[in-house]
Amino acid sequence: MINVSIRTDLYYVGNIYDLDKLIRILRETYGRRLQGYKYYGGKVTWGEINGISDLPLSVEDYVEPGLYRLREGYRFRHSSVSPKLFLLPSKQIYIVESNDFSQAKVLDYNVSIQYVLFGIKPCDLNAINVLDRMIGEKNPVYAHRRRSISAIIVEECLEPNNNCFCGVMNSGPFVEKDFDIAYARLDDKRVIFKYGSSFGRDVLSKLELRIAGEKEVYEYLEKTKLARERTSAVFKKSMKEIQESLMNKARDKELWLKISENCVGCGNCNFVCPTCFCLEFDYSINGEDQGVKIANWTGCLLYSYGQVAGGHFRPELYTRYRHFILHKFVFYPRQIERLGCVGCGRCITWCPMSIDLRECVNNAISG
Amino acid sequence: MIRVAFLKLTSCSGCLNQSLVALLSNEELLGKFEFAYFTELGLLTEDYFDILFVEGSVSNSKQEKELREFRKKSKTLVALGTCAVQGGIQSLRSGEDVEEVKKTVYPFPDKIDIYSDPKPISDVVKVDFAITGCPINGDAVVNFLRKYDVGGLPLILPESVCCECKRNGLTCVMVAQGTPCLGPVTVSGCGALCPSFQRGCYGCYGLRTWDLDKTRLEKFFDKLLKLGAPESMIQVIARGYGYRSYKYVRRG
Ligand code: SF4
Ligand code: SF4
Ligand code: SF4
Ligand code: SF4
Ligand code: SF4
Repeated sequence: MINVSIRTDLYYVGNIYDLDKLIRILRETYGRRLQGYKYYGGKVTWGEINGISDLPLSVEDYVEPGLYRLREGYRFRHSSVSPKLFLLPSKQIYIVESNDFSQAKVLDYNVSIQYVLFGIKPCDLNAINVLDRMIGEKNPVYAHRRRSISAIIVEECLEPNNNCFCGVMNSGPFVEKDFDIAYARLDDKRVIFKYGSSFGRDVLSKLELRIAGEKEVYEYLEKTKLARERTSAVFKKSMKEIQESLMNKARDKELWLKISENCVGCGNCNFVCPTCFCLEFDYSINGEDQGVKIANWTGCLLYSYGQVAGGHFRPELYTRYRHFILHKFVFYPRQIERLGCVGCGRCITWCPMSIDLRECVNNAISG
Repeated sequence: MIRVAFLKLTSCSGCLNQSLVALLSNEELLGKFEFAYFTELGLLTEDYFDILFVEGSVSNSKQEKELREFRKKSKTLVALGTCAVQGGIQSLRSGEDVEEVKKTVYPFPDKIDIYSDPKPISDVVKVDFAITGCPINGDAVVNFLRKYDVGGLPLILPESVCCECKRNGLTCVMVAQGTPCLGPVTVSGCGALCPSFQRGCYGCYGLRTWDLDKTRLEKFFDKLLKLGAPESMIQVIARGYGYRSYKYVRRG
């Protein structure tokens, strides 16, 4: 991917069939393979995008804390999956080795394929940035897969869903850098495009779109502004105050017990979070003489997460929930100089106990 | 040769059958282990065992005695399945007056030796290793034997069923369909079998009682009630797979 930040005032307008054209050009002219949110069998999962029928174009996600429904519409935000599924798969084969440990082979990933992430969301793009800083070259699987991504095409959000709070986390609902092409749906038919790299400009020029009129650009900017405002009015204090307050209250056991009282430690929040990257290793023996080391997703909300030889470092559930919040808001910034939460709201939507991270943070800083 | 025994207490033989199928499909293992005691195969040598697998819960004093004797003859004891580990489906009768039931069914109720509350085997003997599931996943037994053979034990990381559900890329039936699901409070190991068929988990691997106290379980069951699950279902679920969990949950 080309990381050039091109501030452009050039917008183009087309319709949803231009997305089909875009997919075809990327596949046929440029020989790329596309990965993104895929509509299949009444659900939106992650997968290969081969044409417009793979895109979630005529559905929208209605969400509340602990509730997700896909219904007719044209404003799809996201589902429980994210680009993490591609970059940091849930079960990664790390090493295959012989029984006596004399031979080991790190599995090779096919890096000759050039992938394009298609239709990911602004929050997703920011989540990738978090993972890049946090994992980067440290994990061979991630590094290989990350390198295989040759371009990123973002779908911006003009109408966030109920659980989105990307604005306050400075991760959406629009993008300004680190993308090649971005588009947004003005309504169920019209699509507005912009480019963020020279590659993006070249590809867009092949679509033969018309240049957007002043009214359309105004409409786009106005909706973007509203969406940003809507996803920003979330916390009672500024981010700096939140961070200070969280640290000051980190040792208040009663407070955290109260905040986490409904949590059952199932780990769904960790798994759906696009920036949670924790893995656990599992050795299994394959037949007579082969062992396989597999890295599986794990998460700090799980009891097993704190199990170590000789004991357990977070046996109480409240300490695990507390860690989740502290890691996202306080520890990531210390580790990678940016917040670990991008405000996508997945942990809120997919929590079977309907626990709302926004509310928990607010309670923590005011309680 | 490593000597292995399978002892059956109150249970349905599902775990034994799963083990058998798994063992027969891994021929290279059969050469390393000698199956000494396995009543369903007519193997009845009772001298000593390296590994004793126990299926079923303890339902009467005769079984209790037998289990104690087998424990003395065995180096390692593995509890096999939710009955052995937590009491299993027969725990549905926990808390009922079994004397009353005996009177209505049998002409000589005194002759029936049975406990009201079935016991998980750990109430009677020391358990070295537990494999949960109703029935267990046969791969877990194979994995255990392979690791034992190379001088170790498998490392089991008991999590919630949700972990396997999410790793397998399934869409949550609870959040996306409103179907009550016990996955969040149930021990993993099945590979999220029920959610992969769009139905809710019904807790057959047992509730995660080491991590969740009564209050949290109550809150979880309240959530299921809100989703439309009847109270009777919750009673059955909470009692049906675990004597332990039974103690946690309100009586109907
Ligand atoms: S916050 Fe919700 S999703 Fe996360 S572990 Fe607790 S109950 Fe599960
Ligand atoms: S913590 Fe929650 S809102 Fe923040 S990035 Fe993770 S899933 Fe999204
Ligand atoms: S919040 Fe928990 S699971 Fe997520 S990255 Fe941090 S420690 Fe790992
Ligand atoms: S969090 Fe923001 S960028 Fe992400 S889907 Fe919601 S509105 Fe879009
Ligand atoms: S379907 Fe059940 S097991 Fe799967 S994530 Fe949802 S609550 Fe958990």
